[in-house]
Amino acid sequence: MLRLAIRRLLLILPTLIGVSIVTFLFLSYVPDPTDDPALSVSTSERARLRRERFLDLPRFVNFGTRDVRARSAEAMRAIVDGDGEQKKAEGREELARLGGAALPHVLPALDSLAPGPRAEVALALAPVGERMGFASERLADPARAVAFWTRFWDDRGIEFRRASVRSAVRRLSRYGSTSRAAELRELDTFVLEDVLGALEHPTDNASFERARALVDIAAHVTGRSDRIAPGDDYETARACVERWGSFWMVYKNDFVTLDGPSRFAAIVLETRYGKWALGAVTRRLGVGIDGVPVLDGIFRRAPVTLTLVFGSIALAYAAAVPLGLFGAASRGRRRDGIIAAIVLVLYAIPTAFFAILAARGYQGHGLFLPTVVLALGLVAAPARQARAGLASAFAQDHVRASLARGASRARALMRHALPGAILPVVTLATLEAPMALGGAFVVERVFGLEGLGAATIVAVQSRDTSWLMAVSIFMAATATLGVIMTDLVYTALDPRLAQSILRQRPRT
Amino acid sequence: MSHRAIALRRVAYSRRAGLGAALLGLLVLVGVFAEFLAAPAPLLAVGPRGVEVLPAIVHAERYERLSEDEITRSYADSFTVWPLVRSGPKASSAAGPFAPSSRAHPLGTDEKGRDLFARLVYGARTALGLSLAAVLVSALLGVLLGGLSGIRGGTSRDALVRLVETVDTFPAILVVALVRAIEHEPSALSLVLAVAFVRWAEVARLVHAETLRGASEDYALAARALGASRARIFLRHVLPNALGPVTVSSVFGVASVVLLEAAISFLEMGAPTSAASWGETLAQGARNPAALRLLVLPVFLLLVTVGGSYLVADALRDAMDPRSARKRRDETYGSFGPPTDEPHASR
Repeated sequence: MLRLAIRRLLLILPTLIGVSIVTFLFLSYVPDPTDDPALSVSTSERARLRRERFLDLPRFVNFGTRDVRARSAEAMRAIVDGDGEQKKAEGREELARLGGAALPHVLPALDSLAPGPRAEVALALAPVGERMGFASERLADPARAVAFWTRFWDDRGIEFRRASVRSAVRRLSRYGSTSRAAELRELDTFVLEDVLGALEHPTDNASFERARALVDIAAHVTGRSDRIAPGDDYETARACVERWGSFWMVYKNDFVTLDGPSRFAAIVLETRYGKWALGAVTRRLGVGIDGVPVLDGIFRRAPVTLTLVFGSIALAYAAAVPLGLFGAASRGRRRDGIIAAIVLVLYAIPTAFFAILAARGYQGHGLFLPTVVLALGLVAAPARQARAGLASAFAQDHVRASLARGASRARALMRHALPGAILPVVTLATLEAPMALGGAFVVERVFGLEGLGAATIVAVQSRDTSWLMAVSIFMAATATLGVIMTDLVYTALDPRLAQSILRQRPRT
Repeated sequence: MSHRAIALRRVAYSRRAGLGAALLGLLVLVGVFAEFLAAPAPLLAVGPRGVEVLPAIVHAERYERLSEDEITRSYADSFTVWPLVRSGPKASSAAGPFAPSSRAHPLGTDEKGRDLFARLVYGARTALGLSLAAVLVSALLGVLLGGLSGIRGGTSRDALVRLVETVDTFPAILVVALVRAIEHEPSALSLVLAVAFVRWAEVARLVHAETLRGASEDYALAARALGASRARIFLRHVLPNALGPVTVSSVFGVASVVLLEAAISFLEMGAPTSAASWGETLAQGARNPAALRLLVLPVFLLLVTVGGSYLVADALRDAMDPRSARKRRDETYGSFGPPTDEPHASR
């Protein structure tokens, strides 16, 4: 019994991953507003927008990830033998953007270049040198630039190592002084990985100052003017940290060298699905269009919808089983037909109608009335099932035997017929839940409740994929949990079935 | 008498099924012949331009652009046979929004000034067309996949059980939402496919269960011993048994898909916005409390459609249940049962 439950629970995970992959594949065809050719933005701006939405990445596997090594080599090639000034300028710009992280790949290669190209590359590094605090070295002069960068690598190349950067960042966050910050600035973008890795949500004064110092360095080396001002409140600071997280999500590979395991991981992670999954795990299912983490939105809204769905199913069952009992007990008489007709009418009238009527007379808040409205349409299926099951159970020998021994009709029904007949009714509950959700969307809309439905409709209109992904997975998880619950109830009601359920659901 | 003959006989004699079929059939007729009830152009026109038959269908775009007066004038000097109501579901009429009922518009007009009668008539086409198509597609898909996994067994069976379990519990409304999110223009076809995508699982579950049961029956084993292929056993000996439950589930499916379509049109995720839909009229009724008929009329039509198909399905289910087929004679169902003078069933 317990084993069954645990195994089923473990099986949820692959199911959810499967659901997420299918949903993702589906949603990857969502037309992106920035993809519209009619949009009037420049080519580079469009490329940037595409990149920030991961549209330049393949969907599921990516064998051609370009890290800082590949990018800097490409930029150098463009500078050295790019045809036309346009290409060369692009290369220079790219190299300046890559900055310090590219130096370990660019500077050792300088010696192998002919003097002319060498000077060109060295000149292209001038903005980097300026950021690093060497403005006084007059790096715009070709002869001085080449000499400076060669000497620089001989003298300070040893500082361009992960371990030393990591300890420097640790020192900065522990003691926090301007000289330590300057020390990090001298390595330019090479420190980004550790700086942004050490960045945390500020919760008190000390961590606020830490985050401020780290963001300051990151903003300086990347040229993005997204800083935390000294007087900001924690909320603003947290949003800023979030933005840097998103930035790093997109641009990480411009500043990081992929070696060994990380290169293999990149095959999966540097894809649209990989980026989504990573964001889902590390950043609360990603950030929705309204800027709130999706998971927070779900947690805030799910209680309303789940109360509606499960509350209405419970209510419907509370009404359906007695109705079924009554119908079975009085089958063949007029009142049986009347009950059947009423239940059918309740089913056939759309939930929206009752909801609209109820909402007109409804003042104030509370979920009770919406739940009742939703339950009305759900009574039909279990009531019919219960009536049919009880009617056939009533003809069974053990029920007739109990009647013959002098049990009252009520007792025979409740004690002897009901336990056997209730099983198929319980199974029905898992199939009612998806139906109830559709009704819940309508009810939420009519009563103006802040549930999953309202948010999902907004997400469809604004094509918010992260919300749709999250909601699908959440629903699949809830549904699977519901199936497991039903199986457990099933085995509790009839222990003989435990064996067959164990056998029926073999390995997957 | 064969089981199927008994079942058919029971359905034919059932008052429930008769009532349901009459209601449903009436609406199907309304949906099919919507152009005869409401169209902007005449059914038949004999005039200077020759004989035109049903120009509203043949030149649909032309009549969407013209106003009522222009159309009337263009047929001024020809002999015409007009449909019951002279306006289509798409063009807004001269009467303006929320016009009360008049001779031109027997039920008045809706929020956008379109003729309500035409909207409801064409809404029947949308609702029934969509749900019948979705139910047919899902039945085909379900029979195919359920049968395939039932015949093949092994891993594919386990995979299907898992898949069916997941799809069956996945809310249809979410699938529709996902489909709507990836579309530039909402279309009816995608709605059909989305609904079929959710519904096939139920059919597959039924067929699968029936295949498992049927394959171990003596007649299936006998056929196998005679050298019949698995496909033949499935088609000849297993599938006929499975068709009963599949039919019942499909007719119930029509009811639930009609309701689903109304719900998603109500949420403005439904059929293309220009197409008429009861759910959309209902949403207008929700926005405009004063216009009660926008609320009541679509609900009444939904009640008739859903109730009709529910009754038919219910009667079919009772008739096809082999256990009750023999037993039911003693156990009378009064107003909702087969006639008591039913001939003695022999199998």
